[in-house]
Amino acid sequence: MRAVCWYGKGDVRVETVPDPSILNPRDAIVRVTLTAICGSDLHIYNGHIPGMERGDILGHEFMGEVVEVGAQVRNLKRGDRVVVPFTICCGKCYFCQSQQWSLCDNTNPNAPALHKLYGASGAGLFGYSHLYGGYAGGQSQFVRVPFAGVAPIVVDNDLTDEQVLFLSDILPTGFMAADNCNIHAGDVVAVWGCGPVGQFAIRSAYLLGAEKVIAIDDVPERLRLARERSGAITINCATTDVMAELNDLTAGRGPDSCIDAVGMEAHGYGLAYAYDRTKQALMMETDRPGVLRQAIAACRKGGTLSIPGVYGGFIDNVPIGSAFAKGLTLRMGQTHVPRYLPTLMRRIREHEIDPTFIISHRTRLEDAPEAYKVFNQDKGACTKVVMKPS
Amino acid sequence: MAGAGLIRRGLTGKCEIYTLLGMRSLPSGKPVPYELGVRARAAVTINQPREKVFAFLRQFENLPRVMRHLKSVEENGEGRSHWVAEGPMGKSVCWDAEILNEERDRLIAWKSLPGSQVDQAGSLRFHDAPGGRGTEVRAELQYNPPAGVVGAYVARFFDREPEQEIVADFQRLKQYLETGEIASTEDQSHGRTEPEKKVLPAMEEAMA
Repeated sequence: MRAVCWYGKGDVRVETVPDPSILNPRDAIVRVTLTAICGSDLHIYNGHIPGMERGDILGHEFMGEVVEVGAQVRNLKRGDRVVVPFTICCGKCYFCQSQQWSLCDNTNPNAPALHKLYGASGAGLFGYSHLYGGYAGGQSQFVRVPFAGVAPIVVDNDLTDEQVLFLSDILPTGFMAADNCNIHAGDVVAVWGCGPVGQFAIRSAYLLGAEKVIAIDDVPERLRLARERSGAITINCATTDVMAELNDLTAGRGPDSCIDAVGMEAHGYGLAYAYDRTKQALMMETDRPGVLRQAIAACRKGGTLSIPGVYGGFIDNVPIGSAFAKGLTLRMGQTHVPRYLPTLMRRIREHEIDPTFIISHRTRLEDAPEAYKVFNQDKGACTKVVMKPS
Repeated sequence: MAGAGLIRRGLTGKCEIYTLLGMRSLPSGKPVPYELGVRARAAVTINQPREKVFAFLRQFENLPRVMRHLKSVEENGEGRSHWVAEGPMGKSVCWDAEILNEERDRLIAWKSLPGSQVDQAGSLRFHDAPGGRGTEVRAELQYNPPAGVVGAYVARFFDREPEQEIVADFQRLKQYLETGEIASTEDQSHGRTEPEKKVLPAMEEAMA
């Protein structure tokens, strides 16, 4: 089969590789009909994710048709059309059984390594380094899906691939970011980052009852999308004093909730940004926390900071004193995808959310190297790439 | 539990994944005085009833399913058993053990028999986890390396961290008992034309 493989920083290629096969009794093989490049794939592309090996197959946003099931797969059958969540979940551990799916105890074969790094391991992830299990990803014609009867959701034929594909990651990720804000009537929510997750977080915050959502980014096209498609008030952080603007928009209160939908590769301005870039380049700081600092500083007393953006390591100069003084709640982590699938499926069907609006590029899997390049370089023109394996 | 991994690693002097160690100050390559030995302990919570967890572990023949370097265990009656693990240079290492103490669903304690290549003793204790969260299993092991060639291999193990070895086998035990299978990405598709150096051991080396 053909698959998108990673060979190093900035080096992805489409290669012919062996077809996947059933390795464990609860596996299934899925023929991929549509897949996407995630913003977090760019963290890999740019060499920020440790634990990658040359030749690893990328991709954790994909869907397709079940073509083979293992002996112990109970609730999926050949021919089922499924969206596959990026977190692999066993369904049997304490965490799966308490709806904290991304913290699954049992799906990361390399859990001891991650345990050493973080003190614990969560779920194995598709196409996201050997620290998360080294599972082959779904930017390929076929993919092995472990524990296939647990997290994947069967979709009806009246919904198109493009409508449901983003249930695999970014739609529930944006939704959980808003859900974590515990939104009440009258709340103002500020969202840093207007990539796909930010866009869905804005939409979700309104759906969950926010009065006003403020979107912050430095890419005019993405801000326009947030304004036009989701009704956000926008702040261009390249040209505007964000703190002053937030202060004004909330009449001194600060946003009730702040969402950091940027994560560890935050771009920024000024001295603090130069400091973070230098330290990151010297490997003294792995993540650049510019957005996190600003969100903590901006958030109102007693407010919530929700972090869907990915962090992988260490950060400096985070104003924890401010967070403490204001009694903030911090919520973060990988998305508990299956928790949100039924409600999001319903909202898609009832046209409360049309996730297709973020798609800017439709291409063939064969064109993945170019698509990665464009997505990485042109944040204005490129919000989301979906790819069809032929 | 986990003894085979410890012993194999001791014999080969090679740590499969865990090189992030150096907690013990004994110089490597030097036999450890008998009375010092090494002690290791680890614990895991398994989301299954205590009877089930105990029954699986008490059936020693089951252990090669979850212990990475154990080849086979044979029970010979009267609490005695014969263990075979992967040894250095493709060879096997074996030993005999006897159960010293057993309380159903609560405790198993054992010791290797005189004349074994590796002198070891250990116990597994079982408790109900609070809040209906399954079973807590606690392992304690003690090893005394023997003299001779095997002993030299084993001794090289002692400046490493044996608990990590138990933790890894416990993780597999938990996966097997909770889900019925052990998560794996061995033999799956990739775009490597020649064998690549595994990235995780190198990373952990760097972290050490």
